[in-house]
Amino acid sequence: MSYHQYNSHYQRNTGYTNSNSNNNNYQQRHGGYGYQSGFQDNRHTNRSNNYSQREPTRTHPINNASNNTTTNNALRSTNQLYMGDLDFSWTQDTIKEIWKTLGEENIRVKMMMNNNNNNNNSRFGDNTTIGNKDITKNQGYCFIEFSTNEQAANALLKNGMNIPSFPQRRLKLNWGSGGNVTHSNNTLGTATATNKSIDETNNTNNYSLFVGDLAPNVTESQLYELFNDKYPTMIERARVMIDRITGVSKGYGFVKFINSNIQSRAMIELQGTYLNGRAIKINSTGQGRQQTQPFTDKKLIGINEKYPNKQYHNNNNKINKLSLFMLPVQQLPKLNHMTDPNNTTLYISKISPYVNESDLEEYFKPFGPYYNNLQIFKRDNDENNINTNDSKSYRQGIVQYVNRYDAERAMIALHQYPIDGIPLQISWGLPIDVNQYNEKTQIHQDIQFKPQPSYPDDVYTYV
Amino acid sequence: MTDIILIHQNALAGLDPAFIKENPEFVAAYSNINSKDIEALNTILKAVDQLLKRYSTPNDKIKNAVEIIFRQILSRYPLLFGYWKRYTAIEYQFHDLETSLKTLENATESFPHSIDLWCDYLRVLTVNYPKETELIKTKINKAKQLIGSQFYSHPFWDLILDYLLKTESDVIDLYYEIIRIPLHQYAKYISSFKKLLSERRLNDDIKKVDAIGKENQIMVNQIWRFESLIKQNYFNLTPLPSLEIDNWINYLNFLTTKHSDKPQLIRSVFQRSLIPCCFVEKIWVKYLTWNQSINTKQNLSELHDLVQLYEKGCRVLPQTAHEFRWMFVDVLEKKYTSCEKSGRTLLFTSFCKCIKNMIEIWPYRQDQIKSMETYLRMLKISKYYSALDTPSKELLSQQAAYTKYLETSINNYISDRVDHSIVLEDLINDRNLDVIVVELIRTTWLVLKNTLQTRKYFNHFSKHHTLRTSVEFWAIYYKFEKSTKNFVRLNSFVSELGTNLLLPTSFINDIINDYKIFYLLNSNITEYQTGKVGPNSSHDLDSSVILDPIIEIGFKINNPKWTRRAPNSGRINKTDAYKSLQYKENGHPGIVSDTPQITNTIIDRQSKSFKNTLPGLPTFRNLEKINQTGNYRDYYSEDILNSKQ
Repeated sequence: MSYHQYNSHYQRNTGYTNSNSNNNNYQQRHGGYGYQSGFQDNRHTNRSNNYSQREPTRTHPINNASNNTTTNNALRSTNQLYMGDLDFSWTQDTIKEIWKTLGEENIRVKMMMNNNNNNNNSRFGDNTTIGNKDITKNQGYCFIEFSTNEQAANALLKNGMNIPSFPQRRLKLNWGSGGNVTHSNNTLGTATATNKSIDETNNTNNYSLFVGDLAPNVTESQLYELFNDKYPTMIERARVMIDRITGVSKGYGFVKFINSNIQSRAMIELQGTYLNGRAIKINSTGQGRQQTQPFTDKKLIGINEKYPNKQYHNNNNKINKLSLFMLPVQQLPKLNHMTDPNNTTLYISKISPYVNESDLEEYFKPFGPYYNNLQIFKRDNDENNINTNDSKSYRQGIVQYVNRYDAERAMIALHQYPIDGIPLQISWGLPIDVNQYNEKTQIHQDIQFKPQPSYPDDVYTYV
Repeated sequence: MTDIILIHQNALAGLDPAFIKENPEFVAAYSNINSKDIEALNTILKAVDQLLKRYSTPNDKIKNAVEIIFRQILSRYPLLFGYWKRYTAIEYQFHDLETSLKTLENATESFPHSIDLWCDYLRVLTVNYPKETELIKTKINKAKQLIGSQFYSHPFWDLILDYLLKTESDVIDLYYEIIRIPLHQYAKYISSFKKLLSERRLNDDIKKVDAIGKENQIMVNQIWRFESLIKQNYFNLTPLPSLEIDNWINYLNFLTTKHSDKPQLIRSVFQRSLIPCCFVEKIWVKYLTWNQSINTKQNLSELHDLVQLYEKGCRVLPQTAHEFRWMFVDVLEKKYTSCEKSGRTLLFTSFCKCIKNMIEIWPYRQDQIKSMETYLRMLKISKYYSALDTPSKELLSQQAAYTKYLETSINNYISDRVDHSIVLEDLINDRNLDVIVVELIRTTWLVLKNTLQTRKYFNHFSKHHTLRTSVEFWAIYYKFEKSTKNFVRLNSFVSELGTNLLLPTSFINDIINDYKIFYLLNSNITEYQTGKVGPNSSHDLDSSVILDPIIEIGFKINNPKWTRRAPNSGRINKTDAYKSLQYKENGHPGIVSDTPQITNTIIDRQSKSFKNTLPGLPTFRNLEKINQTGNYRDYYSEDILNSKQ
């Protein structure tokens, strides 16, 4: 991949810029849906060369191509609503049913179905879990056309309501511009929808930024201070998202500004600032982008080169390109049998049922002394019923060396070494109490003592 | 053979479909039959009871089905006396008295140490067939032998006394016999005997009886310590509590050490102990050890009994009982050499049976190999016997015949033309094939001194897949090639270890250590120069990398997979080096990580052209994985931790 990445890195660090781009193009913001990568495409750069002149009415290139003058007002005057956060299995009929229960019968639903042709990019948004090959699944959103604008506006008031027939889900509604958009790319579709909603929220005085790649120990106050130091009294609040189950930071958060100017400045000026040893990554808010993954697929870039008019891909790439050059702050892994540098116990799986302990010792003995004996766990009814074709009949074993070095050498030399035609599989393990392992046999021994049946004496009626 | 057919027979096969529909619980009980669970057996019994209540006059098909069920259970567990009783009763209901008597007789034969069954049988016999005095007498004598010495055998003695009094025969001798036996109710017999004697005014005898009685009382008191602790004296499928087993063992120890002069009593206690403890190997071993210690004289019928006893033990004991079976094999081998000709056929057939059984139940290597080795030893002694005084010509011809026999057996096995009538061929399997092949090679090479043929065997058998992983086979191959000092072959053999010949590490280490010394002592410069080419480099170029026997073979120690890279590729394939496990593990075996790499080389940075043009920007591989945690190869969590959840 990395020629482009490297190139941009190079530019950033040296101050050398491509003659085509006349400003810090990789920090450009355009139309509320992300960045653009100017340096590869002059046409686009020229069109939006200054972030302060950004046109809030613009949606995105595709929309520009299809309907050139879509304004916010125009959006408001439509009778279409965007409906997001759908279950992927829902169909048009499901949506219709839902609205029926909400009292809106006269609607048309345009379900955004998955396009099977572009299956590599679905990781872009929320709907990473879409089975790409399953064309029957939707993309998680749809457009609903009401008969009048008024009805649509009324329906929009229901935003955030629980859906009656699916109580675990809430309605997610917004003004929508169209299902008439031709989605050649499913990623693109998602981006359209989500960014549109962001655009809306931005217009209603919600100047938030997404801050990603936070070190796990970054607190809300630290995040607040970082922004507040730079722009005093301009920050409304800062939030760090916490995983509800583990109580650990999810590694991203949101900062809310009082106006869009500061918001845009912060995105440029604080981009890549180090916070607790890790460079933060600032991005505009968006449902689809809260958990942005490192976006480094070679294939993706290839696609972009093929279709240069879909620049927003590159925009996203650029943000992620920057993150690749951050100093890796690796956390110390949890101490367990795999990571303990003093662990000398090898766990051996896939031992042929015909091999017994003394056979196996011939393989493991030469590497060094070990504690106790090598153990092979016997299955509950061991000696009979062996079927070599059955994978369940393989045995497992444990050997605990005295020295780590011996254990390592044994593992390197004997991993995948076939015994009786079956390659051994060796990994680090822990000593196992064989008795505990064979719980089943123990249960067998605890069987209640039941007396043999006896018969009343009168069975010999003939005597 | 009939047993096997019986076990696999479906008892319901002959029944009417309508009948099966009407009695679902009976069918369910039969299909749920589990020969290891007493509850399941009881369920089927109850089902049979209900069935017979419903059909008071069952038709032949039902009768047949019920009979088969009983036979199936009882052929497997003849010690379930309750089932025998029930079976007898049902037979009486189905047929007539004669059939039921026949069943009872079968019962006493299958379970000869049961007082209950014997009493029932004798009672039926004496009541219904009082005229068959001869038969009754022989049966009584037999029963006396089998159960007369048992501690609780008073019902039996009562029965006999009753019978004898009825037939008005003299009971004094019998009384003398009884009062010497330590019985639970010994006092009863002494008093009744004394009464009888006083009636006949035999005062001398009364004194004698008193003396015997006193002696017997002491004995009964002694054994009562153990007898009182016996809670379960019948057979059951559930394992016996260890306290009970300990008590039996203590009891037997006491008798065998303190009262070794009463073999009849000891035998009877052993027989009794083997009813509840018939799955306990320890007691079986004890019994037969004791039995052998008292029977020192060689007598064919006793030998026969001994073998029978052993065979019964082998049949009854679970497959985990190794000690008892090996004891049997040892005994057979020892007796074979010591006994005279007549017993040998018996011993050898029994031996073959035993070995076959062992090979069948133990598919593990070691026991298999051990039993096969024993078999070959016995085979050689029995069929190809040679002594010091045998003329050398005859000796040679016998050895040749032996070799021939082995060879045909092996070849038949390999080419899948096994003739099951020949014992050896029947015994061979993949696990013990190498034992026979090694034996064949050993005799050809060392006894017949036929080096050419030996080499042929090696070439032939080394292609067989089970022999490729056999330590024994390759060990003898190595010895053979060492004896011929064929360094070309030895080099190739050593080079293949661990890569083509997947043998244990310790074996490979030993061979290499030995070969290093052997090579330095015996080789010369010409051998060294030619040896590296390989024996038949013309036709298997690809497979064989011949290692340098002085420099390189040492690398194989503790690293069997080590091999020199194939010479034709020249240098290490750099483009793929990063894919190797060694690179990915980076000295931490088990933890795989993809570290980023710069992929475009800067090897020519010293050259002039480098100065003239701008260097290319570095390109990367795996850069995106820089923050990734290592990938653990963790079978332990997969198997143990996850399976417990």
